[in-house]
Amino acid sequence: MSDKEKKITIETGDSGKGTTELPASANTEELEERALSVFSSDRNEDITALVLCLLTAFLVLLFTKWLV
Amino acid sequence: MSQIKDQMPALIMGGSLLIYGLIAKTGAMLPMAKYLGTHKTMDLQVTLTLIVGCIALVGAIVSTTRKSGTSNIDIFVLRPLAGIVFILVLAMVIRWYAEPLMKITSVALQPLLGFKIYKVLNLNYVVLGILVGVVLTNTWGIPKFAAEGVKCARFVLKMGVIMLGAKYSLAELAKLGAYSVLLVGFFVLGTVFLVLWLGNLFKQPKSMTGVLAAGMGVCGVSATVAVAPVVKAKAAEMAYTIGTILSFGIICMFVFPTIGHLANMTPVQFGAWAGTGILNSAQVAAAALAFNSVDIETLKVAEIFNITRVLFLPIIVLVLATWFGKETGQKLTFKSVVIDKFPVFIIGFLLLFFLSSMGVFSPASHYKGKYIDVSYSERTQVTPEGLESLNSAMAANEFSGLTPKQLEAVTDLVKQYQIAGNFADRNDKKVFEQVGRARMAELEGVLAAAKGKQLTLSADVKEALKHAVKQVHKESRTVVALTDFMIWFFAFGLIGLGMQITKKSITQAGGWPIVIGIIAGVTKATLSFFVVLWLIKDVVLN
Amino acid sequence: MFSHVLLCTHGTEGAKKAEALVFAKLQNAPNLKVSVLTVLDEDWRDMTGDDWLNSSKTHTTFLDHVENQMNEEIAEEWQRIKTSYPLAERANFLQSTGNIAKTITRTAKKLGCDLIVIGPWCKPKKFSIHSTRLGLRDTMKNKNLHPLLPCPLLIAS
Repeated sequence: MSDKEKKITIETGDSGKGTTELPASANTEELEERALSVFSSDRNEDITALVLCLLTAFLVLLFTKWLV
Repeated sequence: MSQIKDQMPALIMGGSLLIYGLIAKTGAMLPMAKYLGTHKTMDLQVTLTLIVGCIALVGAIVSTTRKSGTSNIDIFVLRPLAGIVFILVLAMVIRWYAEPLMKITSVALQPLLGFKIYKVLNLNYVVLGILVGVVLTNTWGIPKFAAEGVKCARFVLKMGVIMLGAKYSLAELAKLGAYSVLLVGFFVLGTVFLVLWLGNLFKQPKSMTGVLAAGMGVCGVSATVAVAPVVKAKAAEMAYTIGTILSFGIICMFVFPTIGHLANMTPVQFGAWAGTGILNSAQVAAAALAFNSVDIETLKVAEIFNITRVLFLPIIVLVLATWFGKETGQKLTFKSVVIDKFPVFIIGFLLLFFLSSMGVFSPASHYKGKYIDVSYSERTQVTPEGLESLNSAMAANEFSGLTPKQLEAVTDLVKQYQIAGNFADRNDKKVFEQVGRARMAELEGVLAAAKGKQLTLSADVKEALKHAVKQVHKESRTVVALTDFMIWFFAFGLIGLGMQITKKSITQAGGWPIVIGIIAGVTKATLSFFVVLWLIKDVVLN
Repeated sequence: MFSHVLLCTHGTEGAKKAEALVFAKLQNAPNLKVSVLTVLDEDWRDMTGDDWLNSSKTHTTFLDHVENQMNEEIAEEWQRIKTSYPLAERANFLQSTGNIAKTITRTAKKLGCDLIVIGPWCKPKKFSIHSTRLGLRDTMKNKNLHPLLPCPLLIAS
């Protein structure tokens, strides 16, 4: 592998700030398969879960409490 | 063309769901649903199948018309969609068909076997869902189109836990929290040290006892995964440990609920026991729902224990890192282990709990999800038959044993046909409600006295009183809907997680870990069983 | 006769027979090229089971750890081969992850091998807590391999 090889940067890390450099030729397919989640970081996953929950709660409230 | 081919599964599933929904809407399926005992869910079936079917079709059509890229819509919506719909279809089939059929068959087989299969194995929809997931992934494998969607299982399970936060009252959370910290703390540390001691006794390498101690002590595979790099576990040691934990957990999932029913455990006791004794946290939720899948009391308790364990995990990682010594090479600080890894979804859980405590989800006068409505309404009136039996009981002087206040409540019930305040106070809501509730309490007192044989009332009268009391207890529709959502989230997440248990990972159990693991696991399960029975007697959940 | 042999080994008793056979033949055939292949079963990726609590960072750390551990074990395996058979210095050592049968055949095709040598399928020993089975010692059913073969297969016994 030469030093000139292109690198790609992917997000890893817990807080959504960690990044890892990989050679562009790296087997990203395998990396993707390794991931157990479609999210790039856990903070993203948890926050999305929370937002979706609040959205669900809001819709439920809208249809069962505020509009009734 | 190939894009259409790729989207075929989603198109087929979406189309079938729509057709099912439309047929169900005509009512053509009602006789079959009645046979299965699912006719009360017919409205839900129609709504859910139509909505999910539409989403699947729209998603598939959008996917065929645009080039797949790396935009957020692609990653989070279009690509996982087929898999999400797939799991939802599985969940629906299991909930509306497989589970009722299982009940009917096991009732039919009862004369032959002498017991009901589903009762003994607790084959409700949650357990069936996990089993279907496990079987599917080990036979045909997860269909390729569903792979991305299955990855959402973890995420949806987190959503379930967050939603669960809305179901606690402050008193419950405080009490359960105290129990869980006590029990989990004792048993986690106890098991960790037991395993370390056993490992020492059998002269096993430190790295192996390290992973095993974490896995048996805290939360199963999750703990093993977190600790293995820290203690530099060997490949075979990890394989043995994970295999042992997974197989032990799956056995627990079936055995725990059965033992719980046999021992007549209360939901709270069982939740606490499962939360302490079962290793993998997904299996704790599964066992809790297996014990009691209709209402979620057990799940509420078990999840508090689960969350406590999750919070204990970093502590154990630190303890084991220290125990393993400086050879780790990895620098572990309090911040890197505890603060950076603090699961954000637990904050979500607390937020929903907070919102619910503020009364956001319930009408103002709620009481733990239920609220009492003593306002005038036709819905809360006693039936004509009930009124008649009350009247004749009055005439026959059947109420002579009542206290004056109780008698007043009954008289008013007969007068107003329903439990309510005084007509004259109807504009002063506060007084009106107060009087109405006091009357309801008196009537409940009458029923309690009748139950305790201090009073003799005819069955008809008791029925009429019970009905009157029940009619003013309304469950908040918001809370009911939120609970339904939550149960679906859990079902979805558990089916998806079931798909990640491969035969290979189970059968690699072996070596010393299986010996030490079984000793530690059984000790923990047995001890916690008795401790829970002895310690937890008085928590009442509503 | 043959010009390039693919020796598949992962250190089990059966595989050791295959090693012995190949390196014995190598003495008489100076022009024979030998590639030693160690395959890591792809199922190792599913080791984390139904864990859902850990962050992806923890997951990646774990899987990296597993991989490093495996690489170390494979390196030890190769060292053992090199010390027991001096001729092995001539061989080309390869490592790959994937479905065992598919990886073997794919590698054979890629390298242009005209003979694949594997060990016999050993009956798994009775359960024993003193089992020395290493994590990477997987077995495979021959019926999965046979339909894929691009060249003759020799099973040493």
